[in-house]
Amino acid sequence: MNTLGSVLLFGLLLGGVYATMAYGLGLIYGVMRIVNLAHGAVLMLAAYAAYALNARWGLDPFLTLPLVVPAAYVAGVALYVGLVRHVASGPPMASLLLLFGVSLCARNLAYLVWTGDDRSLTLPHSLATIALGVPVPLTKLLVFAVALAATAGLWATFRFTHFGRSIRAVAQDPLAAELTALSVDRVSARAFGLGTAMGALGGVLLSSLYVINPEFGGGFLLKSFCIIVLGGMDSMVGIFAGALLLGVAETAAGVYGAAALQDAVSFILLVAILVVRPGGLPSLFRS
Amino acid sequence: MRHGFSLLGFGAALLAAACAVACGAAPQVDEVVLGATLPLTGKESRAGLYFRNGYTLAVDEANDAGGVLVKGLKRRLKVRLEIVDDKSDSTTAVQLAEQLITVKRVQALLGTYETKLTLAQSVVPEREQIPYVTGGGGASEIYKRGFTWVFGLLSSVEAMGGTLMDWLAVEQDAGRLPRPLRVALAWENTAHGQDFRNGVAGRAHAVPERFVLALNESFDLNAKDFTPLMLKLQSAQADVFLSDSHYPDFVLQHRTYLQMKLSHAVVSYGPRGTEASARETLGAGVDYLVSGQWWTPELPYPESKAFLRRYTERFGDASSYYPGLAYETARTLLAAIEAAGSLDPIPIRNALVQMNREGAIIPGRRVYFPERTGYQIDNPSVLVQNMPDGSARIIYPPDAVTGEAVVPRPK
Repeated sequence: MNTLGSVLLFGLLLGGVYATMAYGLGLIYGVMRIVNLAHGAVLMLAAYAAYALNARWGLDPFLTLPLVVPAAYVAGVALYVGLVRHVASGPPMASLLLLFGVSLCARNLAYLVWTGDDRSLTLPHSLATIALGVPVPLTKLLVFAVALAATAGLWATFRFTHFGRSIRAVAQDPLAAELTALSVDRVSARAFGLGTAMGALGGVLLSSLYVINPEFGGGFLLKSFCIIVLGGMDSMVGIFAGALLLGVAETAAGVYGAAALQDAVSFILLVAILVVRPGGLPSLFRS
Repeated sequence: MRHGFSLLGFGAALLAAACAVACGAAPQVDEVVLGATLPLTGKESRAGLYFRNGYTLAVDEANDAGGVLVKGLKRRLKVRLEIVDDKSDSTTAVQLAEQLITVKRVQALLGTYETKLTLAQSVVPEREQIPYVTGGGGASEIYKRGFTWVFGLLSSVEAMGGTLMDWLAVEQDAGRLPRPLRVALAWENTAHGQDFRNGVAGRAHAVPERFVLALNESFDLNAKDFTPLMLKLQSAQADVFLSDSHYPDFVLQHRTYLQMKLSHAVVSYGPRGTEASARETLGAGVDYLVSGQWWTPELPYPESKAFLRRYTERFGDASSYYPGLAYETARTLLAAIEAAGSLDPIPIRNALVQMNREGAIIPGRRVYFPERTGYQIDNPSVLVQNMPDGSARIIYPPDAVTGEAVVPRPK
């Protein structure tokens, strides 16, 4: 496979990784217009949950998803009901500070429980590859497949289910939704839970690829912001596309430019999109 | 008006009393007080705990021998170690160092761990003119500021890069590596990585008939993907791959290297590779990796073996360079106090400047602080190669070798 082919292939795979880590942030912002600064903490705690299940019972992280993701949904609903809803309709700074505080607490809890030591999951397939012209890591292919499935699942949920339609209604116009006998508060709680669950999905998948420590989520949080801006902030399909675009752009920058430029690409794209198309990629297709 | 004068008089009296207490006759000194901030919690807590153990062992041994002989006071004094937790935070490390000096009145400071914290904290003893001896900061940036009160027992990462190149030259002379040798170099974009780059690239440029830099690429700390770097490495067609990275980046980088089925005669990630967790995560992929260490339990020196025995009996695991460096750092400061014959900072500092102490447990077995390096020791690192049975073999320098290097690295 030539270099361009490798850039596209590995860039798309990287985009799949990025998509999984950005869904949760995009969902919560898209519905509630809350910037969830605790998203990095969700990624981190979910990664540790996968690590703990792997260390204790040898469970592969992909097999921990049915345990961790529903638990994260419940935790997200509880967090909303217990804390977030009291500031959700207030000034944006209130929710920002609250969730920042939650993230600090989570990080320090992680230090207390797991210390600052770097930890990795021991996986039999971590070095396995599939020959597709070049050796392609099996783990990244699986993550991409899950990202694709998650995108499809979220799209179908928002389009065909009452739950999804109620979330869309609240996101579009909370007052009008209230007038149709929807409980905005209850829908928001479930949306926050779903966003947390998606964040946990990302965290579990990331644990199969990266070394984890209590600082784990921070670097992914910034990149997630870039992706949801690229993706249009309230479109899951847009986020998936934005993540793929970012993955390819970073890989290309690293190969044709300098490896040190990779992280800069996300911020350059962020600035460019905000200036040229603040609505993100979906706005390119809207009239 | 009368009340105003009364208040003024009261305040003046209070001030005078405070001065009298502060400036009064110095209390008799009956112990040596050394201070240290260490990351006992937070990101660097693992290293911090090893450092605490190493410092404690050195101080306890001195006290068991009756204390430190201070000739100027004509007696031995016990040593008290004041260790506080800087939580792996630079700002906290600075604040606590100030408190140790101004409130706890320590006579000297032992350094914290990690370049970033040491870089920030070392400003305090320099300003307060208190001797500061550290085994926890290797970046040469710490010592290039013209400071005269800061002494480092961790030789620079630049020196480690140079040691790697020296060893490669030995392997060339033995006919196991080609000449010229195509070297692919990757380094994290931090002071640590830049030092490594300077060490490797400096040697390469100095002897172009031996080395050609086929790749010279930086990457960001905590990178999310090393595929582009590995694609470039593949294109470079180098004979050896030398990289310098922190642990999380090393794991991701080497995993990507293995997944892409790359192969080089020598692969090194600077000080990374010997960690037990690396073998758990990457399995046989870490076999034959070469790493540079500032101390290792495998060192064959009698003094190092004796230290290892005492340390493991008391604290258990000593499987990194931290315990050895910490122990030697504390021993160095105690030796400087004895050589100074005084607890005053200037004689202790002068003793450190003039130190040329044999019998150290670190590679080179000697502690001295050259002025040309800003008082950072420039002993060689020890190079260690992972073996498939999980052991690590010292392959360089010649006085510490415990087994022959396996070059080229088997595919």
